[in-house]
Amino acid sequence: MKTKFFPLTALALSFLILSCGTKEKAPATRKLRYRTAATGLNSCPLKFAQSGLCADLQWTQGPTVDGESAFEVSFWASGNGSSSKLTEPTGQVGAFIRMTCCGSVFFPKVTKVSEGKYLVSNVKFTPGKWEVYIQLKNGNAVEKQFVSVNLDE
Amino acid sequence: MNRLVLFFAALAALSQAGFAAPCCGGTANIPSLISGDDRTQFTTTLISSQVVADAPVGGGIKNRKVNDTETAQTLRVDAATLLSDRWQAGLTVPMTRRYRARGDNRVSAFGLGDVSLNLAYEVIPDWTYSVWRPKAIAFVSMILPTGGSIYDAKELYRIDSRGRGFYALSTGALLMKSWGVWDASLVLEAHRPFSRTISNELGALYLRPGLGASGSVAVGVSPMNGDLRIGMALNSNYDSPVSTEGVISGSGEKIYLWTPSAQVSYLANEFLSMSLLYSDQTLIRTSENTALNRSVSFLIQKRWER
Repeated sequence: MKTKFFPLTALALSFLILSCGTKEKAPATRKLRYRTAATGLNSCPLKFAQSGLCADLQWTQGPTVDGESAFEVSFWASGNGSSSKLTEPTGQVGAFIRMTCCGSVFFPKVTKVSEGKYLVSNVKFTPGKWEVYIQLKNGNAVEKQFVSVNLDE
Repeated sequence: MNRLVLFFAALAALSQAGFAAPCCGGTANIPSLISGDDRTQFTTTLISSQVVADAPVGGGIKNRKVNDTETAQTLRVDAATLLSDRWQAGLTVPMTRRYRARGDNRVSAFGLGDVSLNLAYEVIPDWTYSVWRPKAIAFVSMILPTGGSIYDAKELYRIDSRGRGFYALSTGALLMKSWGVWDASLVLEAHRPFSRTISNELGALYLRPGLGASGSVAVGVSPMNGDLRIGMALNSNYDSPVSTEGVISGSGEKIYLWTPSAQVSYLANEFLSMSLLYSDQTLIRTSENTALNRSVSFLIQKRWER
């Protein structure tokens, strides 16, 4: 009788593990509302409200799926500031790209070019819809904004 | 007797028919099981596939352009042995070479896919004859993310991705039955991938995959009760979206994949068989959010009697 029950118990346990696995607790972060960056004259294409900054990005290579892409991101003070007078963010500047279909995230290389200007290189896309994120991190305060890139062919 | 041995040998091809697209050329969810009266079996499979289209998130089919060639060759080795009269254990090791050419770009990568460890139990044996009662084997598999994935890949087109990127526990059952020269089988499987974390200077990125399931239904016939079996199978696979938290909160999209296949098997002798399998994932146009390929597989299986 025992030999019949053991395999059934083992299978029942495996089903239980499949359906009830533990979840890691993620740190509380501000959930970002996905949006497309505003563009236009006198605009603030990417607004970092907490930091009081605007930003814009300029592709220097690509965007393409057939090689590495790269872009420069420039920061300036929002409000009375101007994109002709760049401002260095007080926090750490980061960047990553996210493919919307699959949740896959890729972290390119970020290098400071000059005051308020950073080069994001080694960006590798695959065909599909992507979001290119710029992140400012100052201690626990994190701000992110993104632009959409459609490389769907 | 021949047709039964051939049927059991042909069941090994079920796990090949469900083989994933080249991007995720790791272990299929259905393990290669000893389904006949053998003590040990060793299966070697060569799979050659080409991505011919993509199934977008909303469904439909988008054919690949003529200047975009993506292929994969996989050598998969399955070993299984009895632990006792009804228990068996197995191991699956795939090695995959992926290649993609787009315009002037040509990239390739070769390496280990996702390895899996399997444990199975013969829940319903066929010790006595029954017209309706099938033989049933329940299994549990642990899939190891040894193949890298789209989350780890560094090369152009993510060509160095050969697996799914998550530890996963899979469980299911194989039911099989034969009537005269005809046979049929059904595999139902569910899998639970486990979360993982990628950390860097931006913070921690938590990847949370959802539950998935797959199934396979197959029928076959051994004309004149001979050494040849002709079969057809339909595999389906579903994976819930992968959500992310931490560095970025969001969710991907679910994946549906249908794989119809046709198969010819030949029994060289009672302990050696081979199968040729052709599958085309573009035939059923309801797949979503995945690459679609056509593939040819050649399988040789050696078995040792109890």
